Formats: sequence, C-alpha cells, structure tokens
Amino acid sequence: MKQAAFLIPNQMKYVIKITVFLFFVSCGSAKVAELGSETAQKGEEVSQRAIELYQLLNKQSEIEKAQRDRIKILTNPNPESMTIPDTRPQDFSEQIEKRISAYRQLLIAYDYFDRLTDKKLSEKTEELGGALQESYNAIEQLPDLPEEASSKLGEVLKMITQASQAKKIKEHSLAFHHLTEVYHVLWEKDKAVWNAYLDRVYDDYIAELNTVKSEQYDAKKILDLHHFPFTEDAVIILFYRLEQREQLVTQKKELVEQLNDVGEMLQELSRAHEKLAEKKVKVSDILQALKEIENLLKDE
Amino acid sequence: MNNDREELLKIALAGAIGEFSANRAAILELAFANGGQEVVQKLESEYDVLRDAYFEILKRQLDRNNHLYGQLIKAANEEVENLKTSIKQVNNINDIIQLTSTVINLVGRILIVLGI
Repeated sequence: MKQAAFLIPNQMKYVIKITVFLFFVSCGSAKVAELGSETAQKGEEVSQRAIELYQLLNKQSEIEKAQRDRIKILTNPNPESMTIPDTRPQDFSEQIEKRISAYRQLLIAYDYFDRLTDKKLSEKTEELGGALQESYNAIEQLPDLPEEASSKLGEVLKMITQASQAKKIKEHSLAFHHLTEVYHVLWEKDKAVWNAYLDRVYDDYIAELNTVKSEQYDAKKILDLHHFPFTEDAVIILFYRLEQREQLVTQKKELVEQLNDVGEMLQELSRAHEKLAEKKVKVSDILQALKEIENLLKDE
Repeated sequence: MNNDREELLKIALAGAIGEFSANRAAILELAFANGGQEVVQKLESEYDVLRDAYFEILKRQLDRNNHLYGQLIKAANEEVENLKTSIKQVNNINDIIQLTSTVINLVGRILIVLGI
C-alpha cells in the first residue's frame, strides 16, 4: 500500500488540533441532538394528547343531550302524558375542529423537528466519508491518505454534520419555545370556558338526579344489575344512587384533570425548548421538564 | 356585548340554572299541579332556553380565540417549512461529500482511460 506523507508534521498538528476541537464540539452537539429528539417525541405525545382530549370534549354534546332527555322523563310528574323528549344538542364541534387542526399542525411540526434531530443524518455523513476515502485511495496515481487522516475522515465529517445539526436544533427549539408558549396561553384561556361547560354538563345532571324521588327506583331491579349486600330497599336504592353520582363525578374529574395536565405539559414543553435553545445547554433542566411531561402523560 | 356584561350575564344564568337543577322535581310538580303537562313542557322549554343562552356565551368566548388558533396553524405551518429547509441544509453536507466521491471516481476513470 502506498503511503505518501503528503501532510507535513506541522499540518498534521493542525489537523489533530481541529479534530480535538471538533471532538468536544461534537460531544455537545450529540447531546443537543439527543435532547432535541426526546423533546420532539414528547412534543408529539403532548399534541396527540390534546387532540384526544378535544375529541372527548366533542363527545360531551351527545352525553349532555342524553342526560337532558333522561332527566326530563325522570322528573316529569306525569310521564304518561308527556311526549318523548328530544333536547337540542349543544354542538361545539366548530370550535373544537379549529383547535384540533391547530394541534394536528403542531404534531406535524414536531414530526419534522424529530427528523432534524435524527442521528442517522450524521451517521450517513460518516458512511459517505468512508466511501469518499475509498474512492480517493482507489486511484492508484494519487498517494493514499495517511493512516491518521483516513481513520479520522469519516468521524471528522460526522462531527461537522453534528455541529451543523445542533446549531439548527437550537434555532428551531427557540421557535418551538415561542410557539408552544402561545399554545399554552390559549389553552389556559380556553380551559376556563371548558370547565364552565363541564360544570353544566355534569354538576347540573348530578343535582337534578338528586331531586328524583326514591320511590321511582325499584330495589329488586337494581339487585338484578348490581350486587349490594343489603336487605333494606331504601339502603339498596341509596347505594345505587350514590354509585351513579360517583360515576358522574369521576367522569367529570378525569376531564378536568386532563385539561389541567395538557396545560402543564405545554408549559413544560415550552420550558424544555427554551433551555435547549440556550447557548450553554443545562441538561438537567431539560431532563427535569421532560420528566414532568412523562409523569403527566402517565396520569390517565 | 361588553365582556364584563357578558360575564355578569353568564353568572346570572349559571345561578338560575343551578337553582332550577337543585329543585327540578319539586318545581315541575308544582307546575303540573297548577296547569298540567302543558305548563310542565313550557317550563322545560324555558329552562332549555336558559341553558342554550349559557352555552351560546361559552361558544362566543371560544370563538373569540378562533382567529388566534388560525394564526397558530399558520405559524406552525411556517415552522414546518423552515424545518424542511434546515433538514435539507444539514443533508447538504452529505450531498457535497457524495458529489465529491462521484467526481473522484470520475477522475480515477479518466486517469485510467488516459493511461496516466
């Protein structure tokens, strides 16, 4: 194998210095890409969670209509003479669709952010660097690259890509910080309205069910559906009514908690992006924000 | 409608709705005793109107933020375009290396053909 020392010792020193410098930059760059990737994935999950929650809120219209119709029958003093109730549903789909579209767009943006953080981009550079070196060495008329240079070429090129990738990730992270901040502000603004909506859907129905007379319930039929270890009819009926109320309270509570959780997740996401965009990345701050999101995502 | 007045109306409606809900069965029985099913149905309709009005206020409050969601969609879409450009730019390094390899291969072939 031909080994022409076409790089003189001084030039070699220079190459080594650059390589060492790139190595340190590369360590930081690789970490930025890794944290960026994790943030992007959390961003996708949060966007998806927001979409799912809006879909649940959209279903409340049907629930509300069914509850209205039922309570009209249950509280009518003379159901024999009443017509079948058909309450007009409260349709919020127009408002919800707009919001779902916004979160779908955020989901798409996170998908692209995830692609930008993909380590395959720099790995591909390393592969191509190897191929480049092979092409060069294959030309017999040209002196082969020295061992030191050829072994490091792919790695150095990879470092250059990583540095460029990290720079871009930071730039876009700043954009995502501002974007998610606005998403969060709007979420909090809307949240007050959705809470008021859920109060009407659930609290009113619970209060109205409480006004239904116990005589309207048949303890024997309740026992066909439920297992209550009691003999007294009044107790069986009260337990059944308690259970009904608890179910409704739980349904509402879950929705209210999810509304709070998505708000918090958006705030943490914005914080993670802000920290990732900083010149000196504080890894622990980003990891803490991502951990908070992880915990909130688990709370279902 | 002024936002403060709207909020006051919302509170008043919520109060009236809550009051009716908490005494629903008793109120309807009283209505039935005073005028039969017809009065009950009328009362139910009026209550529905109250609820409709309340929900209408909620929809209006949400609608007020609609244009901001429109702007968010636009901003997120612009970010997607910027990201596409950035991904392309990072990939440019790979394209350059690939192109360089191709040129070197070509030079090698030319040297072979020319017998240098």
